[in-house]
Amino acid sequence: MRCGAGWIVALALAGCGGGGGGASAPPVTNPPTGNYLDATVYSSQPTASLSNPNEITSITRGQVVVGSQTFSYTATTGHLTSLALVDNLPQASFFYVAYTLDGAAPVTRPVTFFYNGGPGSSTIWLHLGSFGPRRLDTGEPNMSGVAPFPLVDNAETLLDVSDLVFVDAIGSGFSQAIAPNNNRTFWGVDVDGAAFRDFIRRYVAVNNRASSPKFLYGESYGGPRSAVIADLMEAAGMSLAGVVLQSPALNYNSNCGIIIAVVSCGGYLPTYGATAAWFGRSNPPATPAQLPGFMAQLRPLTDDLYAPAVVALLTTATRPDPLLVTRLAAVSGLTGAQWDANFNMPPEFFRVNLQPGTLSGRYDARVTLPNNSPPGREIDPSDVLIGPSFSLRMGEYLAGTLGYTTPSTYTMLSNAINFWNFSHDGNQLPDTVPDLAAAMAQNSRLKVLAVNGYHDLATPFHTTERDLARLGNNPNVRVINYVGGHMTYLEHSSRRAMKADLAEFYRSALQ
Amino acid sequence: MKTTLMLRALVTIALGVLATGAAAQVMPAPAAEVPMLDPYVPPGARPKSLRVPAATQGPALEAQVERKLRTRFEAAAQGQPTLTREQARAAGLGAITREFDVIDRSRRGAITFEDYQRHLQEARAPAR
Repeated sequence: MRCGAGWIVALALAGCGGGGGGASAPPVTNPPTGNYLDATVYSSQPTASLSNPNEITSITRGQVVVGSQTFSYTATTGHLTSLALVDNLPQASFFYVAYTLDGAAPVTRPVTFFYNGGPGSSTIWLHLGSFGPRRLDTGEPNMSGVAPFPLVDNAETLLDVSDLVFVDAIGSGFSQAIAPNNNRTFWGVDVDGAAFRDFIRRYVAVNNRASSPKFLYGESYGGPRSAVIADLMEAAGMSLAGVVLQSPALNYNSNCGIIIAVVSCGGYLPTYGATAAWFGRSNPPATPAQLPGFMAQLRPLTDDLYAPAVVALLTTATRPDPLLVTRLAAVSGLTGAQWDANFNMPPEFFRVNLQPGTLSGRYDARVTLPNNSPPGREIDPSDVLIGPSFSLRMGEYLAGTLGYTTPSTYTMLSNAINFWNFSHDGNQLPDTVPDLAAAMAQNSRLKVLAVNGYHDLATPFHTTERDLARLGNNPNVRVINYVGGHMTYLEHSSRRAMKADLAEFYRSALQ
Repeated sequence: MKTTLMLRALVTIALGVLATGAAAQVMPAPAAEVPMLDPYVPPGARPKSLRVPAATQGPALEAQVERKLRTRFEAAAQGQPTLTREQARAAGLGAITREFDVIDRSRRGAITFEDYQRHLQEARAPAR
């Protein structure tokens, strides 16, 4: 793509590339300010690179109540320059917001690094949706409130457990490569993982957190990113205590929603059943409370019958057993004819056809809208109903609360995905289960927790279960599923349950 | 799979101009350049003929892990059968650098991949 050819309305980007020239001088860490107007122009364009990165931060204070206790924290907003592992040359200027508990001893205080995926996404979703001190109250899945949804205090923040650092990938948010690199330099599975490792190294060095227990929290593509980072960090000698995988896409080769034709949709079946149950269309029916029991029926149906039958169809064109088709129709709410015609059932077909005339969400299949989309161009109701609120509130929050202003546009989602080098370890598309296994081989104490939503049609929970089952019966690996979509934390009851489970996970990882 | 690239309609650009109280600085609202599809591989980036790798587990997965670690080790050793502490440090292998004396049982000042492997296996032993 040519510079500036994106359709984004780049309101204030002064020019293509945002500067050039060399950057041989090491970055300078300037004193923080209470309220920082960053005049640097940031760009998400592939060819963009900074010539004069800064590390000035805005420092603000806040309080949040968890349980009956009030926690005072410091929010640090700005950039840090990652330095290459071997030669220490400046690589990229990462935009981040760090929440650190006042009065805590950094030596023992855990620190967690959060990032979304895409690739190309900023960390707006985890930052404003999950476990920071403030969260967007979307009311998922009913969304009965009036948009834009409000930003509220987050009684389930993880700040009582860990310091929290929300960092944007290069080319998203206000993160940008430093010359002579450009954003595109870091748009690939391996280079991106190394860049995140080097941001974390820099954050740790600048903030004297070498001895703090370290955690990663990545969502979606942030899951495979975490696996790559974890392996690289362990090799670099910076041990992790734990990795949280939020709805991860660990293996792109096991998810037919990412790329179909030769990939099995087997892992989706339980999600189809859970979604059908939500709308009262499954046989047997199941309330949310009965969902674990229903899923316990659908896992063996998937693993023993459906997934093997899909493989037989794809590899030898063997038609499925009609009795199996009848059973699939019952549990999923679709018809036998629909299964016959689409036996390797893609999520896009399911979310259009479960309820004719109604479109289910990709990220949260329980969120629906009347289907007015042209075939093949279906919107995602669970995205369109929350996206504008996230966008609006992020702008307000950065400037109004965190005291960081810039004339640049915060890029929620860049065009990086169209340039991304997906190859990894000899595969055309990444399978990062071996990276996670390598991290655990280097650090036997490393704990992994995967959290998924039963109603997520982007990264189905049972696919994650199957991916992680490859690690064997490892007591350091756990999977927990919740009522909800991709972003399980948006739902009140699930976020509360997640907080309790995460607190326990941190406790176990810190033993 | 039907492409959903045209989902651009869902992209949310709130063009409200936001001003800070303190700096009165005009701050553009966040914006997205492509549809929010994660995970996703755009049609242009998809392999024309996808070779789906085996979902390794057990010994096959262990062999993959060993290959990853061995490749990294050998790259740092620059073609030599053994790795020195300085070579490990120069390659950014901080864990090996830090634990070099423990790995180098024979005090030769250089370790083999098998030395490193044994060290990792001992660390995984239940006795710890």
